[in-house]
Amino acid sequence: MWMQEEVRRPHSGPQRAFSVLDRLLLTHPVWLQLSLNRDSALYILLREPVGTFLVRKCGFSHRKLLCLRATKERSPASIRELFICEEDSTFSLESSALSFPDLCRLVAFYCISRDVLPFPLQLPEVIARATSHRQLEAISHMGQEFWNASSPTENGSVDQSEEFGPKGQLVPAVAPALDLLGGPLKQGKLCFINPLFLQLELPQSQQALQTLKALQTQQQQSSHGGASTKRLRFKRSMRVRLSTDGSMHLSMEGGGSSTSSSPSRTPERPGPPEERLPQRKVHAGAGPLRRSPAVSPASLEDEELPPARAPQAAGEPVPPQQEPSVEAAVLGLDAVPTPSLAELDSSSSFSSLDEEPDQDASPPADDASASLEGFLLPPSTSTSSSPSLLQAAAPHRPPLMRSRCRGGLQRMSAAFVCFFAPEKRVTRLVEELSRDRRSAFGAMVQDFLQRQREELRRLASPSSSAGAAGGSVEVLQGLRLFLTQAKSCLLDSGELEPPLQTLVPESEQDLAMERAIFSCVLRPLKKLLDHTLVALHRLDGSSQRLAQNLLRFKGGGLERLGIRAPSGAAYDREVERVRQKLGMMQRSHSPIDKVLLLLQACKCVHKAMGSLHRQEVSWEDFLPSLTHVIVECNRPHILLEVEYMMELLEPSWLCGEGGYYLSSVYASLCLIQSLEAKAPRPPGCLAREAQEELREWGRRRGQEAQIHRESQRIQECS
Amino acid sequence: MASGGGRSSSFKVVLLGEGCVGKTSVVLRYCENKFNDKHITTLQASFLTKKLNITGKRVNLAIWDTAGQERFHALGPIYYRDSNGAILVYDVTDEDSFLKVKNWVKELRKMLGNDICLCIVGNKIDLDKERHVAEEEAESYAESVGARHYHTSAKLNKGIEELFLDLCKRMMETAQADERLKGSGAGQSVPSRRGVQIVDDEPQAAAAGGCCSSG
Repeated sequence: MWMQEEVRRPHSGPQRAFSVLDRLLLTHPVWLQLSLNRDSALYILLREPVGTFLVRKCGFSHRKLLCLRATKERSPASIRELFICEEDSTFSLESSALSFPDLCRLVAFYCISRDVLPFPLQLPEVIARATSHRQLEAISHMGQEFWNASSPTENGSVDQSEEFGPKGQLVPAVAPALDLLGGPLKQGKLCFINPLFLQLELPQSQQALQTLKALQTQQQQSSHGGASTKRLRFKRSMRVRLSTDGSMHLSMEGGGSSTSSSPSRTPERPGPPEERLPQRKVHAGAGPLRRSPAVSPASLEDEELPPARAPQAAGEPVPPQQEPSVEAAVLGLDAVPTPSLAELDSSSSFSSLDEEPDQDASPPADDASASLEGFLLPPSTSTSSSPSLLQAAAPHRPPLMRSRCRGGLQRMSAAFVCFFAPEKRVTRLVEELSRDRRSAFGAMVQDFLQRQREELRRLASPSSSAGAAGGSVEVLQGLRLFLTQAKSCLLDSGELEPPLQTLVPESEQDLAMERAIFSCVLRPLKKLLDHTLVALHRLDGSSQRLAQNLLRFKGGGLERLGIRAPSGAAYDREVERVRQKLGMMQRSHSPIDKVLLLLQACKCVHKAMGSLHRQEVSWEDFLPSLTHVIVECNRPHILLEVEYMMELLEPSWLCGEGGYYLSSVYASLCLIQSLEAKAPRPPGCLAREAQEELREWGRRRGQEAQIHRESQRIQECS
Repeated sequence: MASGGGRSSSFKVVLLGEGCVGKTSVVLRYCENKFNDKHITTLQASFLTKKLNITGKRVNLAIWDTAGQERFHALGPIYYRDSNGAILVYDVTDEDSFLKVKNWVKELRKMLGNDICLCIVGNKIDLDKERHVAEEEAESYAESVGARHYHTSAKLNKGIEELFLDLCKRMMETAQADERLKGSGAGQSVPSRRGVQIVDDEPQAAAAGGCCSSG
């Protein structure tokens, strides 16, 4: 859907050409066959030419496998299977040193370069040659059926001349170079590659033919059926080139003019010089597991940003057709100051904080611009095609794009929004979908938001005080119920494109999904929800009670709990930090971000304890210290925050570290609330109501946990 | 809470006992890799995780330490809620700490029923000469309440590995029995056994097999 407007390359004229990545993204229902078993995969691939591939899931280990027809023998031995490792938010092939931000990019890369494979992967011909979005979509709709359709033939007329113009200098065979990269450095992932805009083009020069001669021969031998001639032409034309402007530069080269229907046609002259300007198509961040690759200008529409060279390469034009050395490639990679994940995270890990106060959906672009400030170029430069201008605008930065303007990101293909940590990309995609009423998921979310706003307004209005006791918990329960439903709706509907499995490693899917749903539902409701919760707590008197006790104990009185009043500058500093964290917590919509802040606050408490005791602090002192710090901070709002987290976090979170410290803060609040000045209870005893509340909460969340486990089990079985 | 699935399970284990019995040392000794995880905080020894591989199954343990002071006793439910296992530690040289363990056992059985795997741990066996809790007494008590008894020395690193391994196996068995129960078509009628027992005030009423299923 979102690919439609975005896939066009700036220089490819009015017609759109599709990159390998585009083709893969659009046709994933064909090649991504996670439920396929080994036999079926064999059956399919043995009927396909060498190089054809599938991604399926190993039934035993539950890991993803790249299955590749490696030789032309019609035996199971000709199918190679490689595990896909999903670690640290990246995808990589087993035994390869290269890792990728998502599965589609991994596959796209291996369609261009072989690295650890015997040769690059081959897209099925129909997919490789499709010229319109509609064609690709039609192919995509076939899903697994695609493989059953006898000989895949042209789907509609394929007019190559319109699609592929002459362009680009050829630098043969990046594949061996990358192979070298991967070879001796098996210990760890060498670099992180983001093969944006790998482009399919038809043969252009004789060199192209020679470079992949071996492949060609192989293909000719294994070719079959009527479509083979055209298929041949494509496969033979695979070219890769490497620019040294700091980004790897891969593309399949060739010219598909209507005159070039014969494989042995004469080579044509390369394109005009200005078109030879290396385009940043692939950005490879250097260093192990750099996870924040740049977005190449090529990923934008013409009006967003023209093709531009990396600033650091501007002064040193690279002679065309030079065989790039591995060192050059690596140096080039190093030269690019890619923002590291840590950098990104430090500025944006709590992206839920600085959100629009407005209850209506705030476009994610705002968020993005805030998070990525400093990494992105101002939009004004985007209209200029001059590299020097780019340079002037951001002398020390890679030519990334900036999306200060509203909706700037949305205009970009969502799939290319890859400078976010992977889970942020999921959030972005899901948010976009949630605003689209045409999707089942979007309609569901929008309808709910509408109803919920009315309900919250009703609850917050002073006239509706009747029966409001415990109302806040009910509101939150309703929200949690919807969050869970919306999540399973989204997963079941398959509306998320590309599918979640290709976007984040399996172990991170739950978290990514949870964050995304929070963002869709809780972010737009934030202001109204806060308002309502405050009103409800005012009604049931709990806020006042806590506020009173906080004030009472601030002047001393915690001694009854055996908590001595500490003091000192270091202690006060940590208390101030905790106060700040609590303030930030209040600004975030996301229960996960809140809990992360809470963990940081608890860390400060620990530091405060350390500053106090100047020695190893035992856990025995933690709860008293925490209680003391909470009293010192004097922020009654913490009551609402704790309730918010306890009700909205997924049950599995409540058993982790976050859940543990959340429980501790809750325990502290119970202590503070249960201490009454007049009728002193035995110290530490909970008020009767507090105990009741606790049991009720435990029972309810326990049930939810059960249901959650149940549904997970079902999902796993299916 | 146990989260299932074919590949890995997660269990929550709560650590209870008086302040000075060395429960924190036991768990610290066990989780030497406590800071290896990519957790946000590296607080000291109050929440710890341990990854295990038991007969090819991956198990994640989340170990919740609690404040041992008597004055915080009432906060216990906040911590042991939804636990799969509890480790109740006493000091073999301190009879009083053993009585405290007995109190915890009563409370846990009352609140969580038979769902929770209990381990009673006599720590500090390196101080055996000063022992004040008879071995036989402790073991027969453990048996009478459906718990297992272990002897450990955090100081000498004795018995600790065995304790956790054994607990894990038991929790896995309990979780599997749970699964079977649900698999046999009883799913609908047992939304949460744990929950049912939390609100139940009769000590052992709902605990008979921990099952109120009709299937």
